Amino acid sequence: MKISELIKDKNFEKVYIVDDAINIKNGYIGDLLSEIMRNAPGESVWLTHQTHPNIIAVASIVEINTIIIPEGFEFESETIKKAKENNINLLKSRCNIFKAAGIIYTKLIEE
Amino acid sequence: MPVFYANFHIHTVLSPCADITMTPDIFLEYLEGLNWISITDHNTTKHIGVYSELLKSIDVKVIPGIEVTSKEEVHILVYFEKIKDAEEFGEIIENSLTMREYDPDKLGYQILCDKNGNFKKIYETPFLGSSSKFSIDEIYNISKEYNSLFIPAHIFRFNGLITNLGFPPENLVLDAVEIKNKKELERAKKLGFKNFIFNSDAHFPEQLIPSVKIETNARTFEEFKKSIMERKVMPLWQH
Repeated sequence: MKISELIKDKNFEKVYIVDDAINIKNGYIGDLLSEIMRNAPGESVWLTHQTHPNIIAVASIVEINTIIIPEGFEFESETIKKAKENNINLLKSRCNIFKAAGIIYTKLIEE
Repeated sequence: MPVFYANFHIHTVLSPCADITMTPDIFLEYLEGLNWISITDHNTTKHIGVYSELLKSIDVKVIPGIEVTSKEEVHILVYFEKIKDAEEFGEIIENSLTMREYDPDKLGYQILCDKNGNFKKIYETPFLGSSSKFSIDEIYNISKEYNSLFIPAHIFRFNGLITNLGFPPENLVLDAVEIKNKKELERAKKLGFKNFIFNSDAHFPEQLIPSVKIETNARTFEEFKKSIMERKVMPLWQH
């Protein structure tokens, strides 16, 4: 799925997009960054409640290309700055994390 | 030079997750063998004054402290030179907590003692086990407006810095990190940490035991800080 698919969906809002042709092949959810570093697959979208700048470094290490936070959360300004430096896409969802995951999962398996 | 037996991570009956027997009376009875501690309740400093005063009768010195829960749910120990500073910082943290209402039957009672160490009231709001709206970086900046030490707690465990954030935030100069055993000490050294403290994180009376010994001239904040920086805090491993 291209990231442009997600941006078109009204449930998601872009914060920073490197390139809307970037391909998402997988997904992962979690708030413990040590666990994400151990287990998250590459070329994936990551749903999390964490907004600290460290999420960008973790995404770079495991080659997550897109981070999505759920409703009610905001990325810190330092995090957005680092996303630009490291070419990581940032999106916000208008749904809670469970519903957001369901929408993305459905799109991915429909392919 | 005198040797002091210490434990700098101790909760009182005010922390919702601490045992309801963690009252001043029990401290007076159980603290044998310890002569230097810190009171580090979750997100509050309201009990430091009472406990410090009452523990003078058994010659136990108290470093004012707090265990803060950051927005990232990382637990951080902050130690202060002055009780007044700790209390001011504690107010800022309490006001920033994200759960104002809570059910004590499910999450634990927060019991506030009066100046004699007797039951004063149930502290109903905020929930002291909830997280602050401030990020770890913001809490660091606020803490450094005082003469204080910023030390992430149990870094490899639940609510630990490394568990939750993967590695230390790049802009923070951590004064030390808290670790629990030799294996964690080796792991922390590999991550580049150089200064350490070792505590029991006491929530129950039987955990009111020495976890370190320190050879130093006096039980002051400055000597505490110096001991950490000069790596003179010697662990007494329990496991």
